Amino acid sequence: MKRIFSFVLVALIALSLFAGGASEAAAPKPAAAATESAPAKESKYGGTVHLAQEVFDYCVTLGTPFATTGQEQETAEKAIFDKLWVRGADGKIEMQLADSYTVSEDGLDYTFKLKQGIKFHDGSDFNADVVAWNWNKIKEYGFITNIAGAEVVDEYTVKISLTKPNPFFLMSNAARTPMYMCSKANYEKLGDASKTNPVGTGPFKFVSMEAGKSIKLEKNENYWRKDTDGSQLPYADALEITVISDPTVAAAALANGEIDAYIGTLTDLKGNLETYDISKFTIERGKVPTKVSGIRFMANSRNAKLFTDERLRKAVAYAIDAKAVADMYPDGEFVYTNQIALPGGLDYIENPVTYDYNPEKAKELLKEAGYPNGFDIDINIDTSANSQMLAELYQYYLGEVGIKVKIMSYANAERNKIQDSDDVKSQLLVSGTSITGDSANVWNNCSPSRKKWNNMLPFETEPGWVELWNKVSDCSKDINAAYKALAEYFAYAHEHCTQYLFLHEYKDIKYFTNKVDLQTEKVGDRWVDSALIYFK
Amino acid sequence: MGKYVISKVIQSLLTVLLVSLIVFTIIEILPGDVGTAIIPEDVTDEQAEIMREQMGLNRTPVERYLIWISNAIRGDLGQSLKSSEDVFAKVSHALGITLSFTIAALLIGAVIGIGFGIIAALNRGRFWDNLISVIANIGSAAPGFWFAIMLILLFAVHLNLLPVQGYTALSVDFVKGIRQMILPTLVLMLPTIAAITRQTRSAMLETLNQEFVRTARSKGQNERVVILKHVLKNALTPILTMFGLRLNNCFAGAMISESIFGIPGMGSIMLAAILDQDTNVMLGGTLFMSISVVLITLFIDIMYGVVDPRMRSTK
Repeated sequence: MKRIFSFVLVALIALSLFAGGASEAAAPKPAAAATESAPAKESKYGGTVHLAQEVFDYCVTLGTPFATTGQEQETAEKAIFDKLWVRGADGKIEMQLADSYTVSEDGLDYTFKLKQGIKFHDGSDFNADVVAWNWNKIKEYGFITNIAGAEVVDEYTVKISLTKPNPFFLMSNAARTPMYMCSKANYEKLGDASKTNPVGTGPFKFVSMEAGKSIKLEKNENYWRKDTDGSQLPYADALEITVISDPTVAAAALANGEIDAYIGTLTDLKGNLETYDISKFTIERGKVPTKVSGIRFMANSRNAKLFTDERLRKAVAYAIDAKAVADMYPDGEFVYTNQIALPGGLDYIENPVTYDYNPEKAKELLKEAGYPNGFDIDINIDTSANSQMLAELYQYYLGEVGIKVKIMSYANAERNKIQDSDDVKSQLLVSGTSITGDSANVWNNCSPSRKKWNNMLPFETEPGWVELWNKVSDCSKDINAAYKALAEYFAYAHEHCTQYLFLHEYKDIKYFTNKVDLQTEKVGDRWVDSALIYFK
Repeated sequence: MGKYVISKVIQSLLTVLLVSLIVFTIIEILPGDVGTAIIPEDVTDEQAEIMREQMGLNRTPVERYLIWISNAIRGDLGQSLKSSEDVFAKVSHALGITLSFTIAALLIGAVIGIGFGIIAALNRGRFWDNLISVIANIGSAAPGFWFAIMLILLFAVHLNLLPVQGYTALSVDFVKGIRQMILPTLVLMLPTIAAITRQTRSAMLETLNQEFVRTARSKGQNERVVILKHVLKNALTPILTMFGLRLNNCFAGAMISESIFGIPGMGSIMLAAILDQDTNVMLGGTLFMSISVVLITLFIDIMYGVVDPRMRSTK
């Protein structure tokens, strides 16, 4: 009897282990959303939107955006603050708090005419004095570089000066966190405490926050912005953002209506949602790639000369089946690209030199360069699982042509040390660079004056390449000429295979219930514009 | 007794100091520091140097530790190198949150565990003993994160009785706060119930066979009095030891609960600090936890004396 009882109990437990998730037949109806009364169908207005995201570490500096680069808090910042300019849905620069701007002949001074009649949540005026104060704070904290200072021209005109001309100043900073304009009066009143009591001009006002976990915001009744059809924004009465880092918990919260949308990079969230009724959810991957990645060549020409030989760089490129690597990600997380720029961009290169998979060509180049049997090389990666997977793929492909790869994984801190070292040996890097809609950031990171990046670029042996880099910089205020020079620069980079970047990363995914519309097609960057969210 | 307590306190202080030194050394040995973790890649070398100086990273490790320890003695644990938040305020707030549901889990779990243990011991070899043993085994073996997910699926999704996750201070919304605490408390309770059940059963069985129990029964004592006053009281010492161990283990267990249920407690902030290499928060959090462990151990030691007078005289 005891044995039968024990057996039955063990069987029940085992069954529960496998039946832990909800089956499709038993799929619960998503409970009524934990929101206040939903609006009538005719009206977009009303309701509390509950968003969740993966991390929210920097919330304790929420009130001082000039003092952080924390992208985890962008959803909240975009709700509380506005910027002078943003990247529009069409990819072009769009003025937001500014009305217009002009650039000086030497490309050093940007003068902005500001919108008038806008107030911060604390009632203080938005004007040139506040903007100049914000930008001088940005300069002080240094999270946006190349800023000489800002000064007031008149009550609604402000001049921002650069230390050196940068034709991409507007585009490359459009998505940067410090760009959000915060209230000077609030900072002067609260000092350091203003970090956790943010005041902006945005569609939602700060109510309360549990550091690192959640934030509550309420509608700004006097918000200045309107939708494209002239409707007053925001639509929702309130916004709550919480942190959920586990995909099972996130899926459960979406299923029972506790949250309306989840914004993050949890790719296994989709698998968890499939245990419920996935037709009740929409999954949208970001339309703008956040990174371009591939392989970089560590070739400090002072100490390690292997990849100063262009033939060896090209051999590596030909050996890898880049399209097959991208196809390993059917959900669109990585997409093959033949260049960094996006189609339609001013820096887009028609028919760039590409390195389509050709192992025979790779072997030929190796032989020509004096390595008929290949060589041994390290590949340097960070600790992420994705980098490990990519490195193993490259290891396989390179092994097929005789290049024996040893995968070396380092924490970011150690990796940075290696990259900065003067004694670094030749190695490959699985690496990427953040992009914001064009190739300017990658160009900027390749500056010959930046010691940190010296080890990755054989620029000392490529004087023509340095000349092209400087040609972009010399364009100063002529944006069209700058993009043309940028295209030329990268065409050269492709021709000489200075780095092999062939994957556009689309890591940001938005999961939301069919009760809400995030109107993401109206947003030009990767972040949700909470002012546009409404209940259907 | 007074001398005993004083010597214990001195030992405890030295322990805390040693723990802080060990943790600091380990942090220093790890490659990189918070500077390399948070300074943006696109700043100039000069700006990076200024930022490192602002964070105090240009000093030697010995200087940094001595500055930290001298400030810590005065109650100043510095600021988070990542967010500039006051570490004392941050850690004490988080500790309060963690303790609120861990203590509830422990106390309720201890009461249930002792009850189960008594029932199991008194029904040795029979149905209730077997059932309770199976429950205790499950509680010991089941991973905390699995149990948490099962509870969420059952109570939050299928039955829609409780929220999936979140934390609300009781002072802000009492009912919502309690509802959000139920599931994480249950997750912490299960291993506590399991451990204390098994310890109670074992200690009770050992004590039930003692001569004095037979004497008490033969004197005509009520069975309830025999069990609760004579047997349980004499079995309490090992149960108390287990309770102390569980109290200390709760910090580790709380990390899982806090991560899954989105609770901004000690586990959450320590995990974030480790990933960010935020030295000040790691040291401050470690200091608080080591003080807590030391105080718990001290409390248990003192309770031994209360529960068993024989312990007082040997001390």
